[in-house]
Amino acid sequence: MASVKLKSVIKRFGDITAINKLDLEIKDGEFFVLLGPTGAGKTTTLRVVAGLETPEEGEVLINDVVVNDLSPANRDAAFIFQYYSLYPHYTVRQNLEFPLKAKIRRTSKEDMDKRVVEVAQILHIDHLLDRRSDKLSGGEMQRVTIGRAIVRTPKVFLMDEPLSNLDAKLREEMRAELKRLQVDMGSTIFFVTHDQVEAMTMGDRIAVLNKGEILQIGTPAEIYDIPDNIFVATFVGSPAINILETEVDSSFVVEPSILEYKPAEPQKKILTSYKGKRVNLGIRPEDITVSKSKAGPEDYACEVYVVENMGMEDILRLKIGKNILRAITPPTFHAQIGDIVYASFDKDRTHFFDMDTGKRIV
Amino acid sequence: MARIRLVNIVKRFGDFAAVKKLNLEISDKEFLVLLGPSGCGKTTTLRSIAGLETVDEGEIWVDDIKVNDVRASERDIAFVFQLYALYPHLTAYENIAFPLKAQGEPTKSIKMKVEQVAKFLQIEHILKRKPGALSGGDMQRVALGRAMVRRPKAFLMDEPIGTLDARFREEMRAELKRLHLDIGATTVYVTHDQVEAMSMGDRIAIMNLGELQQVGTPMEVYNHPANLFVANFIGSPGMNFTDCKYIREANGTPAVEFVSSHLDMRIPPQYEKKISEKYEEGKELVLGIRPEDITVRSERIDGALQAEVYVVEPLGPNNIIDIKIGNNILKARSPASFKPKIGGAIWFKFDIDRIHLFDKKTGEAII
Repeated sequence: MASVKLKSVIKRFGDITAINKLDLEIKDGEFFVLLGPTGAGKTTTLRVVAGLETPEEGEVLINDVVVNDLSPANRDAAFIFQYYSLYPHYTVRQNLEFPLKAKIRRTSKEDMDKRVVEVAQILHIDHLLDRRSDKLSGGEMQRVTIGRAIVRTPKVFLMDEPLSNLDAKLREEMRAELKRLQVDMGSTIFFVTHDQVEAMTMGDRIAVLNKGEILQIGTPAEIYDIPDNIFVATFVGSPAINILETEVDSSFVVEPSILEYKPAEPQKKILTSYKGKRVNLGIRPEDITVSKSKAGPEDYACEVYVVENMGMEDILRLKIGKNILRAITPPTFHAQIGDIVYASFDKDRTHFFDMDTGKRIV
Repeated sequence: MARIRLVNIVKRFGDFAAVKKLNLEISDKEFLVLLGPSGCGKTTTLRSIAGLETVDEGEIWVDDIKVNDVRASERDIAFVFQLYALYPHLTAYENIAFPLKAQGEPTKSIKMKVEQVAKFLQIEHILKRKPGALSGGDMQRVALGRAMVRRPKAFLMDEPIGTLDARFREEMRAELKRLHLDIGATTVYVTHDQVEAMSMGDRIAIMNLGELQQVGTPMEVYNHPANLFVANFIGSPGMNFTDCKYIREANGTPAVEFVSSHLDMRIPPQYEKKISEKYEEGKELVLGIRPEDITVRSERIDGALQAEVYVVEPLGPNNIIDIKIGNNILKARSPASFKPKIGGAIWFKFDIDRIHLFDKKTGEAII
């Protein structure tokens, strides 16, 4: 296994700068996720590491060796694409063998057979070895695709949204399996996705990318609990975080006499420099407590605008003045559209972002 | 008024029966979701209601009119395709006006109807723009406006928000739900995404392999799934299943024994009678339990069994802990702060009042 480093990488396509001075370090044995919306530059980054794209500037290192001038075949990185690319007329066995047959690898028939069976067993597809690839289910095809990458024991795995074509149930299963596989094998995986649930559940660390630039790198908990900026805060988490434009005064006024928030002491101190200015207040739906009666002065009256019964919980949209808040209640709360309820914010879990830079204040 | 009734519908494509003896009643003003995996027959059913497919057997009724032989264009039902199918060369106004213009309506009348719809959907300010200059949300409203302007009896929607990115989909779900409330028209909505179905449906009709599995409110299908398919399909993650056998413990207490680990668990007292009367010892069952109904701890607690931590999946507000018992892997929900070591020991307990039992052979729910 190996580490991967990107140093000040710039990649342009004509006038468009797809990746803008990217610095990234993936540790040996890490499951590293690159997360971002479509067009952020994630696939381009992956392709640069693979050697399928050449950067205009910067260095790519695998195991501390600069690989810019090495062809993809010589970088010893296995690329798993988004769409299954199995040879449909080959059996599972033949697909798995294929990478080992390349002359450059010089694997003996005995070693090859042994390795194929080994990999098939790890992925629970040993019973399918002699089945044609076009006769497999989606999940089975995905495992064979992964198997074909594993079989060479490459230094690093590069995966480009490999689960996005599977239906929801299968994706759920494969997430846990892939993560466990990585832990058992100790592989270095560089995984790209636009799905924040995938990133959160699988990544040891996540890098959030937007418009060719990295906005934050951290563990799932760090990204979720302490987002560096408003983009990260709104991109990760479902239902999405509530963002309220607030005027900083003696209290924080979202809407006069409708929603005025008094921050906790430590936050208050840091925010004094913003007095008279506007900031963005962020509060996640699960950090809003909804009650049927008003208990204190900071219980804000709201009207229930939409109710989504999700089974395990209800997602409410609460109308308060000009704003709509997303909040969560247990199904036993039984909120009905038109009800007046009271929302209060968990003071330890309220975030503040600068309106100009989008950066986290506190 | 638009009550839609499907009576013994069968639709075949050659030898393949896409829809098999379907019976469904949709009430006036209801938002009914047709939910199921790819190939289950939901789109075929929707297209049959629209008149885009002709059924081989059975009857389709809209209010008191049998519409089997009525052309799609005359059924007074608006089909909303993927929401980005707006005419790119026409303005928002012209897109909405299109169905009326096509019917030869006078310009003055068209103007009135389009402006009325635009006001309702709050898109008056973008009427002069072309789709290329509109946000996704506005495009959705224009598409809805185009469907609404003829004041159809019902709306049929075929996975309209499937291609949008996750955050946008979340917003559109709530918007569509609210719009449905305000518009008050019967809507039949097709999706493979159970989160969408739970969020939006007044009732959900779950299909698999051409057959209706269950119809009910989101809470009904979540808390009382009729069979294994529904139990697993609804909920993310879906319900956990483990094979077991009906046994009687030494003292005669009805219980279930897990096949993979030979541990046993008492049947909830309130169901003891029902099960002991109906089944013989040795009957193969499947025990179902949802992730949020499994408690996990890092130390042994009263009544808990031991397992191995297989994987930890942080979701943000809470975690999913995959636990391995014998050959079985179950998913349990835990607070975000609980981060056990992979491969380590863990103790788990089921909420007895929340277990489900299914007949292994038929898949039907017993309790």
